Amino acid sequence: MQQILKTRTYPCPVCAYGLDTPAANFTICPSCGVEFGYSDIGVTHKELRREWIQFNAPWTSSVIRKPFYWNPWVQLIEGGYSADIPWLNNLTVTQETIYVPVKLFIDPGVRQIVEFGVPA
Amino acid sequence: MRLLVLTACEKVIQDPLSGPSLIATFQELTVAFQGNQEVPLNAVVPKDWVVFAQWLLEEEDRGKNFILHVDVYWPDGTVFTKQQVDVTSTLPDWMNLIARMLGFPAGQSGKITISVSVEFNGATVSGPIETFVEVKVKRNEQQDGS
Repeated sequence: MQQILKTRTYPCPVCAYGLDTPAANFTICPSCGVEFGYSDIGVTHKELRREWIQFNAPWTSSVIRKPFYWNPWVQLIEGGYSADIPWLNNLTVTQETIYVPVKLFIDPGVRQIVEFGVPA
Repeated sequence: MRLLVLTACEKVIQDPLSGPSLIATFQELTVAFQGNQEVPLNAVVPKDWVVFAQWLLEEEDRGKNFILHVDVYWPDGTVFTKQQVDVTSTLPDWMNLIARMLGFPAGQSGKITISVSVEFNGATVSGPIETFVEVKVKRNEQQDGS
């Protein structure tokens, strides 16, 4: 099975959105709204990213439509910027499998019973 | 065709000889956010996970070009992601779907719904069939004591 990958020729250095052209020469990222060569003068991309995140990372363009099911956090994580998402600090994720005890008659002739899925 | 397996798991190891092996299937996920930062309802945590599905093919299914759909919904019913992929099964009896997900939807407590279906020539020939992952979100567990 092939994995579904998005083509991202020029990832935005602020929010990781896939731009059609390099992030320079007044290219405006529709996702974070940064205009490269203007908004980023005297400010680092990291600072601009944190500022965008502070406002809950909204889609900024009113001209280019937001992609279906777009999620800024997936975009940032995919771009390697999860360290800049403040609520991910000291996050703990615990996953559980629910076991249901089941008895199976494998061979009715022998009446052998096999148990599996016994909770720990 | 018949759906035999549909589950969320952490990883799938693919081996052309012995078939897929599922690592750490899960039905519940507890996410604990620390500190006083506000966590948005569309929050996603950096956890890689996989939706695995396996269908048993009938004689007439073999060699056909199917479109497999995988939809994941937030607890409030909105779409987290919809993916689809064209597949022509080369295996004699089975068709496997391994949909790798980047990031787990963790902004809302409740059931994450995973739905799979198979389409052929514009018609749904299997499903949609759903399974769930129960997400428990704990916010601001750690207080500064002041």
